[in-house]
Amino acid sequence: MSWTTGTQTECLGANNAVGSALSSFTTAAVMSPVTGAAYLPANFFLPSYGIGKSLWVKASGVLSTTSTPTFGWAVFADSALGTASPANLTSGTAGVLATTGLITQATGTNMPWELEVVITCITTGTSATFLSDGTVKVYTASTSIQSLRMSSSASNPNTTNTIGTGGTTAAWYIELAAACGTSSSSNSIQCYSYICMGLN
Amino acid sequence: MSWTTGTQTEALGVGTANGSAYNTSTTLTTISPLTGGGYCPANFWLPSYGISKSLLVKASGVLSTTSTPNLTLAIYGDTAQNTPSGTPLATTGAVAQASSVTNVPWELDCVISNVTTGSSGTFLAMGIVKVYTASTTIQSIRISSSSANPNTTTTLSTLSAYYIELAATWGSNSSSNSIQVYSYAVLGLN
Repeated sequence: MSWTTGTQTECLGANNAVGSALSSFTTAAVMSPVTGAAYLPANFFLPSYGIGKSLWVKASGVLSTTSTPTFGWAVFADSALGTASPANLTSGTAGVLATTGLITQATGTNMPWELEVVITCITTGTSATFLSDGTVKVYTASTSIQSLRMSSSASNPNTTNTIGTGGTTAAWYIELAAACGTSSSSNSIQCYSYICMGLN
Repeated sequence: MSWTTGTQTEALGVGTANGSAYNTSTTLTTISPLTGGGYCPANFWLPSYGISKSLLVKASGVLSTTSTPNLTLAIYGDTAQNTPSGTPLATTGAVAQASSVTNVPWELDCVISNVTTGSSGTFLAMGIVKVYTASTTIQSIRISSSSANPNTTTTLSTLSAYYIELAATWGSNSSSNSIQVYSYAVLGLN
């Protein structure tokens, strides 16, 4: 701790239970445990100090598939706990702070996955914008990996997205959601660990 | 920092030296450096505030093998330094390693969260160990409080004090089966 920045890191949410398993679904649904959800009060990103203020989301779990369905991961800013809104992972949709989009997955059972993403406030206010970038890694077998970009846009260079109605003047829960391209009880994803850190 | 939670993140332990190389043994042995062992005093997980209080363990180093020996990596709450025993907070179980590799890098991170406190305190832990068996290949190994799906808890009394340390067990005794920690940190997240 140097106090150079006058800020300190804070764990805004850490799970004390595994998340609910999602299966037989297609639309975006929250999978992070309720107790892990970070709550950001209104104006967490203050007009004066909010720019550059960042979150670090880290999560892991398992994924099972039949055939090769598409799956996607996204970090949402949800106005209601446990409710992913909007119900899609589309890049550029307000509230979808970081997304992989829907990506074809390997066939497997209880494949471990993990993700890390940093989300940074760029502008504050009702039209606040955020830049985010990270990676989802799915360990499709003990010696193979599928990596997916998880970010505020699919563009290169990366571009910002908006947080939703009210922008940074509203309160938000930071949650992890998933969606699947094919509804099947064999297409299942579950979150075992979820933390959200306020970095500064 | 919002002070919404009234908590702050703290490095409970950071290695200031390499761990001792562990080889020519099949005995459960601490491999994290002494200085990195995050110390959690008794009731670190208080009855009133302990639930969801979490640790992040990060480590990296190198390993070497001959043939394809089994290796178990596990995070323990040790009542005395370098004395792993009992049920670990998180373990990989015994997993066969790549054959005849030399000083390949590995890394792990694992989040350990308290679920219940008291003499029968319980913890959920989940993370991944990655062994970079060659510059373009990887072996991934789940390290967690159980091997079950869904994951289940492990039990450790929160009434005692612990050093949070990383231990290893080789399945085959050979001087060529060696693992060493170069970096080790235990963060108290909240």
